[in-house]
Amino acid sequence: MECRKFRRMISRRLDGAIDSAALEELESHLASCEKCRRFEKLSLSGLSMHRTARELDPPPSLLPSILEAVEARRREGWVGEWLRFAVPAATAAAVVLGVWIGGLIRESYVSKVTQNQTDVLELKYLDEYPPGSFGYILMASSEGGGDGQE
Amino acid sequence: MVDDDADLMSRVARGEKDAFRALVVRHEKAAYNFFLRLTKNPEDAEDLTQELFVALFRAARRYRAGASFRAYLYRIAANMGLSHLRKGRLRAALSIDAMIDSGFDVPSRRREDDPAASFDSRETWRRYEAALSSLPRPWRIALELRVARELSYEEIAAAMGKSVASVESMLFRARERIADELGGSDEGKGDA
Repeated sequence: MECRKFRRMISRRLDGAIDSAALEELESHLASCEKCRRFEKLSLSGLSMHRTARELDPPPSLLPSILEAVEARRREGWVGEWLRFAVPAATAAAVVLGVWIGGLIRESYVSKVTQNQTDVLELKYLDEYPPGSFGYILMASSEGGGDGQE
Repeated sequence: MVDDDADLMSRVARGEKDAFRALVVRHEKAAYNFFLRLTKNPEDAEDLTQELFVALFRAARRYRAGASFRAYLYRIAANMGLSHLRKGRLRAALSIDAMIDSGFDVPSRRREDDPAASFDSRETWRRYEAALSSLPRPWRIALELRVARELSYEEIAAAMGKSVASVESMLFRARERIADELGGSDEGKGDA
């Protein structure tokens, strides 16, 4: 358990992340602990191998292919950006247009319907029988007059 | 460098192609090698590097100059790498010998005057790489970011979405596991 604490310190020391007080404590422990010295040696060896491993140059085709891919995305982006605004705008315009046209239709339809309803509700022909109707003839005959008897 | 990167990113956000090209030129080798170490396959590394920069381009408007650019770049890279490994989208990984033959090697390999040292070096590298490959993926990524890319604990924490203490712990446990693997082999060989 104690050694694990010091090995953690060794790991921090490899990363340059240890303060001087801890470093002093670590050095004192390492002087008397063979296993921790071995851990340090192996960790240093790993660090050295990892750091000194030669890095490969990327293939020369990588840069042009990245730029090309980004250009393609940029073009897609314009279309996407345009659609992003165009679709809601078109939807909103369609709704406004729909409401306006709906209003016009309603206005003309309702006024017509209302007129018809008024005609019906006024019941003109119930007390004023149209000429030639059965009621007109009856009324005319009962009043002692009418077209047919004149 | 950090300021320059942040400045380039703000220019990329304004749609300047030259700024983006400069960013790619500056970071493509490091990114390519990061993915190459992770996947051990040059084609995968190439594809992932391309995806990384496309993602970076798309994210340019969201980048805030106060944050470390490298942490930002490797946050995207680490997520992509982890996702790639998790999905098992890997092409066949190159053998360590093939990696070494393609130039991915410790410098002492080039000691033509001492073939024995070259062999030992290759053998040690092979064991180190095998130990590295056996680590849990986040530990490998943390170690790669710290040792090869030289990110600070804070930058790694930002890149991996972890706390600094968690990063420190991952690095320690990775080294402990590697030392066990390397030390165990040495003991097996009767190393004194």
